[in-house]
Amino acid sequence: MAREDALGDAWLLLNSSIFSYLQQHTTRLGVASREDLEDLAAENALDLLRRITNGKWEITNRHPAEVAGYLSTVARHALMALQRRSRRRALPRDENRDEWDMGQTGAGQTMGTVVSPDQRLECREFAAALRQCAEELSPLARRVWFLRVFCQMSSAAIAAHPEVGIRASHVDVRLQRTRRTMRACMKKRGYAPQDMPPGTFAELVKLFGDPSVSVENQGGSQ
Amino acid sequence: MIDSGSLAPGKDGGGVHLSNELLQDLLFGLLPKPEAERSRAHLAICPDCERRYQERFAARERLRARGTLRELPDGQLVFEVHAGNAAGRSRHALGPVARDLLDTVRANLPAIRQLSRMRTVAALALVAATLIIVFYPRQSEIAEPPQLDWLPAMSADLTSRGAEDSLHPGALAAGLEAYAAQDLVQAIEQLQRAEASGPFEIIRKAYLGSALAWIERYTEAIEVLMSIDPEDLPEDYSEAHWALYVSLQNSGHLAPADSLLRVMAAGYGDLAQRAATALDRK
Repeated sequence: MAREDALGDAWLLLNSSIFSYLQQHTTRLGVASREDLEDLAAENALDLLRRITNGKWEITNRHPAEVAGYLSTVARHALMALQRRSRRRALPRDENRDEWDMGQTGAGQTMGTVVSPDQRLECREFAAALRQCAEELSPLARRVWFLRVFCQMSSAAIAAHPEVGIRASHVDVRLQRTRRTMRACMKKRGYAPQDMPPGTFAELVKLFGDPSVSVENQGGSQ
Repeated sequence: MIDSGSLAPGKDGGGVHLSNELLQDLLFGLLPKPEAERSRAHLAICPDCERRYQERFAARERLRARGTLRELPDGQLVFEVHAGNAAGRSRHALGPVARDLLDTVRANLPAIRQLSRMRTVAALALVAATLIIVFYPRQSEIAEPPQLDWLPAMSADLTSRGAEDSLHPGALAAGLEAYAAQDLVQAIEQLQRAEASGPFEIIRKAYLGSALAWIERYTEAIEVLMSIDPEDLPEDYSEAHWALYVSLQNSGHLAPADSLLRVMAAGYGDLAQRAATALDRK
């Protein structure tokens, strides 16, 4: 199992690292859709892992910073290749867009960079209420809800998630029930349906640990 | 406080942000607990960092839902797309094996400790995982444990002659018959009682050792079989050498097992051929 575990770890790390570098490079090289970036990350991670396993890419004696640099190069080349294949998808860089230090994809929603103490308190209260309501859900319902709300996953994707394992149609039914439950619960706490304010995800992560993991060990019913 | 190595100044004037590397390390559970908590606290007050973290988090979960990496017996890596429901292992942070190795590497190399402060722990974790991939053999490469073979059935004549020499007449014959019938518990019980003398004692030990090895009581099998002088063992019962080799190998006494294998391979006949084949596989 050790080898299988290591392969799985390396696979996720490679994917996530390449995805991260792809996001950085999209700022300089143009914008690509989230799906494109995920496809590129998956494609290149698998290719690199194959090269590791057949000895064509030897990284065990390399400095991790060198490995990181190489992954960044792989991501940049992959993005350039994508843009060559589909010029129309690669939009020019928006020079007027606010950017943080290393650059950021334009695919995500842009939020303000400063949260006032009042806003922070509101966010905390909202997140606390949301957490209390989520705690009343069954672990499965909570996981399904979390993957939809915070990871924007489709019902089919949620159904295929290794920690869900129910049919897509059941995902829809569960989500419908869960939303109703959450809405009623939040209403009792004085919150009307609204977008998640900034800080909600962070608060949930902080309060739950890694929410889609820690729900395993939490009780609740629905 | 999050140390300065974790933070990068924002160009938008909105203060400092968690670096990409730190977010990556946080996502894979690579940060020490206090630092992970400080980083999460920062996420709560920094919408930009929160958004970047959420993007990474969501991308990882979508990837996990898309499919699973599988290694085929020939070593080929394939990404199996989840067609529908897929009950798999839970793995959000780095797996325990790679995590242990990472901790070991980090604890022993000062340069690596410095490196972890530079927030490239994910790259280091990748190297650690790769070490396992490179050095841990594929399932198909793991040598099959050596298989035992049965000693030949004793003739009734020899059995009855042996019985005469036994301290417990009848026990040797009963033990050998039980062995032939593959009733190993009975065989061991009878053969342990039937202490004999001369060549029959050697035969008794050979069968007793073999029976013990068959039920994986390797330590006892080694003790019994090692007490036989190889020169005294008739060729017909040389399978007992193999039983000793299997017992040594399967109980982790690899050096003497290897030694014995080489001795057997240098001989003649079926046993030597089998030993040579096993050596080739090593």
